[in-house]
Amino acid sequence: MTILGRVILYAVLILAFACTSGGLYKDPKMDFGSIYTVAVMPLTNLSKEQMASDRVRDVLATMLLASGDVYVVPPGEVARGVSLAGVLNSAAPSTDEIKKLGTVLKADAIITGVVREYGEVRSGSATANVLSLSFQMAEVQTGRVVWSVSSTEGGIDFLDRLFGGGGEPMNVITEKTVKDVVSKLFK
Amino acid sequence: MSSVNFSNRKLALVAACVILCAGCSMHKQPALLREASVPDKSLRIAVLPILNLSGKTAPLKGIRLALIRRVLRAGGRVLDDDGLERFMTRYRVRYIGGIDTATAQALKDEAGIDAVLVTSLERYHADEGLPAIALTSRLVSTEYMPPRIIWMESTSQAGDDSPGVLGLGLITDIGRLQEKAIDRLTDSLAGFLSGKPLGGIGRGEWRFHPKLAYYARYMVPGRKYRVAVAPFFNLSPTPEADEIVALQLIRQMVKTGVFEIIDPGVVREKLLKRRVIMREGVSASDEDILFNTMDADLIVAGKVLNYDDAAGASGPGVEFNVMVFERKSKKAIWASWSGNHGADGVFFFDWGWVNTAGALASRMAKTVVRDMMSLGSIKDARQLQENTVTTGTWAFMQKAFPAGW
Repeated sequence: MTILGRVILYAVLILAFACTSGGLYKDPKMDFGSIYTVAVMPLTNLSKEQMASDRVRDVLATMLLASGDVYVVPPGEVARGVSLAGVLNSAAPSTDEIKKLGTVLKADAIITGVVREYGEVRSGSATANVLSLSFQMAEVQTGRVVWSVSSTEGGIDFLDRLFGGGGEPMNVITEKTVKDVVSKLFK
Repeated sequence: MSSVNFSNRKLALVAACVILCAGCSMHKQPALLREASVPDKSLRIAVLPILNLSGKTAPLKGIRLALIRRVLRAGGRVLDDDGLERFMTRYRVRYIGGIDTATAQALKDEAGIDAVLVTSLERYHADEGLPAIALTSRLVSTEYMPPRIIWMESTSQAGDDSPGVLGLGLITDIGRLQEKAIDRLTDSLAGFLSGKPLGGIGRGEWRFHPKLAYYARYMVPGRKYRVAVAPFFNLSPTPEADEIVALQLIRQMVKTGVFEIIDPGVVREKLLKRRVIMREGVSASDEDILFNTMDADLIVAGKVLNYDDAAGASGPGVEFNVMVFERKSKKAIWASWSGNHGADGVFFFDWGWVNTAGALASRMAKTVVRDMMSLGSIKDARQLQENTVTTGTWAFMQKAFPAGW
């Protein structure tokens, strides 16, 4: 392969990996096939948008249900479970609280998460929407984390810088990001 | 020691007669208004005062009177204002956004009312710019206990809905728009009173389908389901958006003829009586209460995340999710997430632009109900997931051809 060919190949690879970023941890000893019911806890919101955590939580719960792989405990039942189990911080329950929640909610796993960035980002004259989030899943028998993932979508790309346009709508970015996360869970 | 003399006894007798007569007049059958040609067997309707969800001052009495006139013309017999006022005072009826079982029973027994017309004003804009109005009416039958919705219609109109050539079709007078909106509601009501079947929900537009949905294939074709709609949660900036979206969803469900919707007033009464405070949604214990006290087959619950009537570059925006629970397993059989703007799917000359959040919510609710019944093109969860891929293409189209391009 010529030097030019190599440069093009590397450029293509770098571009391909730059489109979606995120890390993934999966406990190799965990049998994910044994998880039938999960509870999605309220997410921690580190973004400026007040509703970001509720939006992302709703999309995640609906997408998990739509995947047909697991049943998601409804948010009202989760709120009741949090109250019954006496969980102090529902966004970040301790190991003991996770075990208690599992019993109260009859769930096999508890998902917690953080919305790190949600909304418009600006760079010079270019603007675009971005969503960055991370999730952890703890199984309720031992309370240990068996799956952890982070993902970022959107942001200002080459075309946005060149032509402007403001990027994709927030709803589409939310859908894409959560889809990316869910695809990393059971696949 | 005092003795009663003759004149005092006479006075007491007169007083007793007056009290008795007053008592009798309080319980006399209230008068029913009707057109001369209307037969005696036509539906006897109580038109409740209009619930204002618009958050603005509006001529509610005028709208109600216009509505009553049209109901009379449509062939209904209407309980007169005095009779309704007396009834509402006697039974301390303060909530006008629905009807509970006890009130419906009393209306039936004492005033001989067959149905109650509950109307809400969801939008009223007459201050500046072009006017806009949104109204929803439903007819709640007192024949069934708990009372059920037998007809429902909604209209959301703005002055620039049909601008026409050179803006000749623009409506700048709120009075004209109000008449148009009331006509739309009462035409549908007249059709129903004359025995026309409910029209069905028709085909939903592809652009307003839920972006994500889960369906457990629970419903059996040909079977009717009794449904209780739990109060929706409102996380949007519009104060009454929860009620508005819930009403739009109920309207579409009523139109299908498959769902027997228990009036939301009954659900409210049951939850208040049991001091139920819902946090973030319906829990298993709330489900128990709703299923058992109303003998419902399904519970519909939801959350409104956005309901914004401000027409920006992408038009009004609505975002909500819906969950449906079934009685036996108490598990969700349907969950969907919908989010749209008025300009979605509009590429050329504002063709298909939706002007009001009410109209947008109505179209979105239609596709939710249609998909819920599996009547739409989307058959199951797998296909729904594939549908999210088209959202990407659609998003590209929107980026390439911005609204108003």
